[in-house]
Amino acid sequence: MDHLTKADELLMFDYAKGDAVSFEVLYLRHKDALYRYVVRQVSDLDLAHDLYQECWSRIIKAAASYTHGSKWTTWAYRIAHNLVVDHYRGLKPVDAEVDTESFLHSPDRIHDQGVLSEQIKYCMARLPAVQLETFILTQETDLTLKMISEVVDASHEAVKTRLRYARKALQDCLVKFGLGPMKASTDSGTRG
Amino acid sequence: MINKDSEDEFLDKLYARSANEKPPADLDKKILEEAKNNRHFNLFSMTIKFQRILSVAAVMVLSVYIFFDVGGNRSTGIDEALLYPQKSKLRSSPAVPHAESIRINDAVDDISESNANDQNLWKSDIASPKSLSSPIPPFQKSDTDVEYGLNKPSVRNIAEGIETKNESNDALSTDKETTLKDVVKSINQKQVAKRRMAPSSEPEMLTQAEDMLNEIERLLANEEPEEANKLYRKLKLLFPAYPIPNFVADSIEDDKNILD
Repeated sequence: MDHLTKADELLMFDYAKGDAVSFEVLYLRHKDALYRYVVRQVSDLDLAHDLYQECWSRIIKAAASYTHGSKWTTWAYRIAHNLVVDHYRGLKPVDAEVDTESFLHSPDRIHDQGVLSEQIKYCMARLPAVQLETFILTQETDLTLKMISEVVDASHEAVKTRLRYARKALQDCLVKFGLGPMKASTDSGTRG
Repeated sequence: MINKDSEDEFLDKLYARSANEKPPADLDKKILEEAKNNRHFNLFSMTIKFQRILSVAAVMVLSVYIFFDVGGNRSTGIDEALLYPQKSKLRSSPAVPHAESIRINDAVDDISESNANDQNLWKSDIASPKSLSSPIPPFQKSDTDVEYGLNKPSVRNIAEGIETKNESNDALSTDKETTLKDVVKSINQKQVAKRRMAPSSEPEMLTQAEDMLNEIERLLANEEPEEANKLYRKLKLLFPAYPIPNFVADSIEDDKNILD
């Protein structure tokens, strides 16, 4: 079977048996999403890099003991979650006040190509940590809410609530920038 | 009014547009390098895991074998002392080495009284531990028996011999009191005297009986019935269980009737 079509779990088993190519495929498949999961929760980039590397290091070391008990993504993100919680979350102020005024009224940035991504990043940075994590997981992975609840060690209902609040907060924040579904479609139409 | 689903869709699109961060190339390289280096470690740990499972399985099989006595042939391959430690404890109780030491002393005294040939015999007795581990029957002292013991030594006998020798050495080293030695000596002397009184060994007896029978046959052939009759009586007296051929017995009886 081709490596690219193999499931994550099989690739992990193959790597545990000594196939380095399987790990390479697995890494290329998940590296960006996992990187963003860490970087978007940890404001210090160097620390984020360290945690990201440590996360993969733990995955590598645990390869021999990996079992088919859960989906590989759930298992890997659980490792990343524990790292972030242990090393960072305790230090981060959950609801840091950000000076929004200067950001909102900088006319140069409004029609900038990268401004939308900057705006959403800004809004995400204002989310409480648990809501942010849930939102990132829904965006970056194909995990169901049930699986996310396993990763973040919370109940299914709690995850649902966190996600709902996160979406609401982001939408409210984006409205401040004059961004909404109608506006965005208009913007993309005029840009195109 | 804005549709809720379209709001979520908008948010997802916006996020997807912003999701452009990627890990630096040097970090990728480091991680992949580490993965390659750890590949052998993973293989090693997998092997250890497999070996652990295998050893547990082997122990379980052995336990089942011992517990249920598979095949009903316990003695083959496994030492009974290992299976039944109580028995071995009984064997190595304090009284037994003492008894063994007496026997050893007996053997040593016996040898000290005998000549150089007898010393060779003692050496072979050590090699064939029957003479040390059990009371020595009188007929076992002959050279033929010793040769038999040397020619067919079993591994079990050798092992027992070593064990007995070790036990006896320990016992000898501990028996330092003179009173005990005196007692042992007196017992040994008695046993030696008994042995001297004892008749010759069984094969020797058989040979003697056979010789006598041959002599009877020769006398009968030479027509010396009186001598033959005397020898026949002697034979019957000494070896009552020895089988005598019918023709010899008949001719002796006939001659006896004639003589009478």
